[in-house]
Amino acid sequence: MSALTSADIGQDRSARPGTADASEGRGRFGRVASLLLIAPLGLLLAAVFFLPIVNFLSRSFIEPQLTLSHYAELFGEPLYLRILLRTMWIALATTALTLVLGYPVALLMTRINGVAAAVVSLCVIIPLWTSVLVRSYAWIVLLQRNGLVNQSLQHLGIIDQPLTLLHTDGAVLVAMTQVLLPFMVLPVYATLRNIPPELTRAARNLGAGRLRAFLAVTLPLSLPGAAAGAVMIFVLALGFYITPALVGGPRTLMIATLISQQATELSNWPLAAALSFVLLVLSLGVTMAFKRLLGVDRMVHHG
Amino acid sequence: MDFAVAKGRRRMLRLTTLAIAALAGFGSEPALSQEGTELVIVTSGGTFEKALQKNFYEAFTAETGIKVHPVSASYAEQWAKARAMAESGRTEWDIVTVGIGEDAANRDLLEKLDCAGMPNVKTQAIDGACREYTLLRTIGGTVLAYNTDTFKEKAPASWADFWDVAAFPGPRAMPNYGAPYVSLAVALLADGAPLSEVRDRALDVPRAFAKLDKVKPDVSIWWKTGDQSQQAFRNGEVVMSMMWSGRAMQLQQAGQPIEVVWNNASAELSSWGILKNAPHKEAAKAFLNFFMSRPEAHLAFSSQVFWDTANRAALDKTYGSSETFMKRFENMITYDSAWLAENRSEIVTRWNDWISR
Repeated sequence: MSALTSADIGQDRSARPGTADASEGRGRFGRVASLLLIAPLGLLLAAVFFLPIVNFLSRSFIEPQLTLSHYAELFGEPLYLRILLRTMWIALATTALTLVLGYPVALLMTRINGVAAAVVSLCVIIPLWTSVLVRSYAWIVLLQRNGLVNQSLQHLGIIDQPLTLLHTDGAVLVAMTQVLLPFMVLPVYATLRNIPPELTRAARNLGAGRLRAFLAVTLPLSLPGAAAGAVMIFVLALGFYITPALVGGPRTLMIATLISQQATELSNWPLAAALSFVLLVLSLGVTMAFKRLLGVDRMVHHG
Repeated sequence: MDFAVAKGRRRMLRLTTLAIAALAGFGSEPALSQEGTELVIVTSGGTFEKALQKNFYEAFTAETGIKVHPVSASYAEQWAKARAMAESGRTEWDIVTVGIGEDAANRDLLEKLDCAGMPNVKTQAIDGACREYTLLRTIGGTVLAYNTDTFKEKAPASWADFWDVAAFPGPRAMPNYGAPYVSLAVALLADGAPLSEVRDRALDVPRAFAKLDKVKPDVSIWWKTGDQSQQAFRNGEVVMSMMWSGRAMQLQQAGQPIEVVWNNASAELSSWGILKNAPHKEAAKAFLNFFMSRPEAHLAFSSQVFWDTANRAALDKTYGSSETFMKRFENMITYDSAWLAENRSEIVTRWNDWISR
């Protein structure tokens, strides 16, 4: 694990065909062809996504007539702002947790091969194939009073009385982190894998220790991936709905729950639209801020 | 100005609906069928729907040749969709499930019922089953249920006892599923208000919340689904619960040590309603009339889902006499539909604020 020969590096390049070829693939189609290829998706999105959303959101301004009264209600009632803040706090905490837990997994995935790599990748990806509902119910089974966690702790003699684990903020954080974890692991893994290993080797060659090489080279280069994962998770968590409702307590009320309540139970679509609009603006704002701060663009350009 | 906006919006809505309909059209149902051959009935689904199918839908088809398409939707979802269908001018449902207060809130979507035109309703239903817009379908209650092992010598018998943590100690469960008015009404009774001031009356909301404050520290489970309320009992997480009678009776039958207190229970009434723009209105009316017949079907249905129905002969059989049942019912909390429709949104918001602190 010391000096490298140029032959090593050359071998390594050819072992990673994805990077070099990707840039050659760009611009293969002309502008018109590209537009034509995108058109079906664009039309589909316009018809079944953007049009209904614009239609729905516009209700917050024009029902029953041109008005801002729904926004006045929203900002005048302390409940909505409080729940909005709490939702953002939970989304932020989930993002931080997935980063702390997901980054090492992604790093591990770049360092192992063969069966071990397959096992780890499966562990990351299989939960994505499982419905969020099922995963949330699994957490109920684990965390409830006579659940696996409490029973194990009691068997081990660590506790006498079962702990209250379910219906707490902690349960929501744990479950949401688990559900969203793949969205952090995968983009981080993608960027890590595209960092040429010779960079680390060069750093080592120049006398940096393992830790320093990681901190000075690998970590900064992988930040765009982490930022992409963080934005995705934060935005997804803002709109989370099923998991908090199932494993959370009465206090873990999320803004998405309030929106659905207004839209379905109370048939107050203008207010639901106003709440959605505020949530949308917040999500967009956070995405932009992240983009500015961490330069998500870079990841795209570096392939 | 208003008009232009509304018109533009309506056009956009129609466009959207068209687009979705065009897309959906690729793989879904054929165009609306002719009157007289089919009927679409919306319920909350699950085992409840299966029991309806077995005891009512199939028999109706056998007698009339009209095929019943069961559709499942949660109460909340159902009204949102019915409203969207009405707005887009393409209603596909005939009969919907109407919960407490929902008839007043959705009057614009419902067809007026001709009670006199349904002979079975006159001869076989209990009094008051048929109202202006709804026909009573199932009857149950939100009851006080308690663990009989915990309270052997002295058992709780009223909502005041539910609040009395000194006499009946232990963690409680209460509902938190979008119908907070039930908890408000119960709190008022626990606070000493007579039933006459609560039943079918506007509720004293501030007083109710003040009383709820007192029990809040002792409520360890706020259930959102019937299953959660049962799980809390099975796990021994609570010794006393405010829960749906059907769910409590199901536990009882499964051998759980649980007793139900019907005194001042909150009535859980679900009714059938016909949508104003229903595509098979005549079939829907025929079904409502048919539903009230055949007491044996009602008995079988009740034993499967733990809900009573409004068929008098069936109640006679279950309770010895339907009068016994009616007496119990008169002692239950029912609600002022119009007041509820007017105040529901405010109550829900206040409840959300209260529960999330």
